[in-house]
Amino acid sequence: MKILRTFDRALTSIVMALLVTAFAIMLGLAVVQVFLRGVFHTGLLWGDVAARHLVIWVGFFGAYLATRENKHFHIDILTRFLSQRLRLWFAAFSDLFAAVICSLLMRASLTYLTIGMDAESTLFLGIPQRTVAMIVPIGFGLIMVQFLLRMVECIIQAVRGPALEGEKA
Amino acid sequence: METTIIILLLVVIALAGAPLFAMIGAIGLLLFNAAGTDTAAMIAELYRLVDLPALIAIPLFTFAGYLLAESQAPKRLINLAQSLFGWMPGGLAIVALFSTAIFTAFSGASGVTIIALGGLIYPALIKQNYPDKFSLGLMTTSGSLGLLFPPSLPIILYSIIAGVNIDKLFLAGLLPGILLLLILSLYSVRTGMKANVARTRFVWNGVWASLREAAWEAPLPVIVIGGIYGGIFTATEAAAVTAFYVLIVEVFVRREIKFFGDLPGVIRESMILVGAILVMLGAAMGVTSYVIDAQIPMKLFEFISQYVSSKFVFLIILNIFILVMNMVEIFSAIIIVVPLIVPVAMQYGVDPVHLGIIFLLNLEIGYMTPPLGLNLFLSSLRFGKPLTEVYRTVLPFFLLLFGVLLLVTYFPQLSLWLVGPLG
Repeated sequence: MKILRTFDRALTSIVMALLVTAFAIMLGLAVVQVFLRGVFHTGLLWGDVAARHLVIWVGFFGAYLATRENKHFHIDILTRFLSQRLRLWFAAFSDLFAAVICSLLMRASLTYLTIGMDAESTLFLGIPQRTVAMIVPIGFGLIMVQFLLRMVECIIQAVRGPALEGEKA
Repeated sequence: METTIIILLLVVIALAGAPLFAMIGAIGLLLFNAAGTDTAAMIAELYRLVDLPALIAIPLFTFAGYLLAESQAPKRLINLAQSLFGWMPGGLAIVALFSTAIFTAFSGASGVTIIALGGLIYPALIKQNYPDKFSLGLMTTSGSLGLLFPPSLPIILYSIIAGVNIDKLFLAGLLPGILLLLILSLYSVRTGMKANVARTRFVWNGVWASLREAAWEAPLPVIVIGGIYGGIFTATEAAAVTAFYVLIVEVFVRREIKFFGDLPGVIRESMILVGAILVMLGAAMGVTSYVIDAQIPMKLFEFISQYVSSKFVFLIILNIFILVMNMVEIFSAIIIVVPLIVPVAMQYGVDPVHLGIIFLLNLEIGYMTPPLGLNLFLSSLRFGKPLTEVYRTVLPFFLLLFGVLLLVTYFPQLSLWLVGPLG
């Protein structure tokens, strides 16, 4: 169990570092473009394309963190009225469901990258389009891993639940 | 038969609390499989997000809003509003309306207004002898006021999904938004007079002092709205300017946000919201393309037009439908419903910009509609009042907002008048 938590923490720190970096570059590019356009009536040809791709990178990293903190949009009309323990079982189930969907989306993304994209085509500064688009399968993969981690955590807590309540009593 | 079982199964999974982006993804995977298309086509649609120029406005404005919320800016905003409106009957209530509206416009209307500003304003209202019921209702309503003002996140999202120019939509929201504030202000004045609330004196020096205190933040709405309206920059560029400006002011000028200590946390929190929206949007891109290829909006229109021929009856029915949808969840409502209803509404001759304002005003009301609106829960939690009491206090505000909704629905000019000159 400890191993899983260490893994989770390490993975999250890496994603966090990548998120902040990607965000900083995105903001920097957007500001430089406005400045160049406003002052010199020019701009980096690749700037807008790069910034827009970075939005996707930032988005997937953010979605990974949203998974970890249970901040994805969901309907809690029903689960709100359940007991703590039952809620954990429902959470484990929906985590599993989401992980399965993410794995299918990851597979679809890999297919898209290999079949749908030209291996030779580059986006900007000689960077291949495939490299930039790798974030889609990687992103879904990261989210899937996080959902599985959460599922394990929920099941453990659900099983241990009664013991904790017993202690309180 | 099989389809019915699948739909029922999906509904059960959604009610069990599964993330909505996974639900939408599952629907997409099922649809593409059923149509015999490789699911890679779904990802091709998702990847089209990078072709949307306005996309970058989402992370930039969200970041700016979170940064402002973390700083002392909300306090300065309230002080400024207090010095401007405090002398009027119902002054503090008007202060509450204006400051929460501006705060919500910048913070993305994700419910943080009640949490962040409620704690400052609600006790002050009670202390000044405003009726308890009124104060609670006002705070609950204020959680989503300002949704119509730029640069609120729901406006940006609607513009991206409906394919409407974001600059136009920003302008279209101004008049209906102001009308809403005015009507609620009048109600506040009346309440203030009836309750005989003490007033503060209007002091020029006080206004000057609080204006100087907020000198860095006060120009922001002017920069955003004026910059776009004056054609100085586009909404997307305004996003970059706002994010950068707020970063410089709060981190380097005021130093209320520490560069290493606080900034990564602000980026993290704001991008969690952005990420949650983007994966849902990405998953929905595939479903939307399927819906359009299958001409579902057209079929929907043919079906509805058998029963409804008048544009206004259609809009009324639409209002009720959206209100119910929005109670469930706001951002998903935009992402799922907008692609379906925009083509239908256009068949009825409704301008997509006008429809956007109707839709967003509905969102605003949906937030506070019993029994499931998000604001009601937040308010009950924040102020420690039972839900049923919140339901009752919100009723007069609900009726006022609903009245404005009817006005905005019947008079498209309210939304389109400012857009006209810009063309």
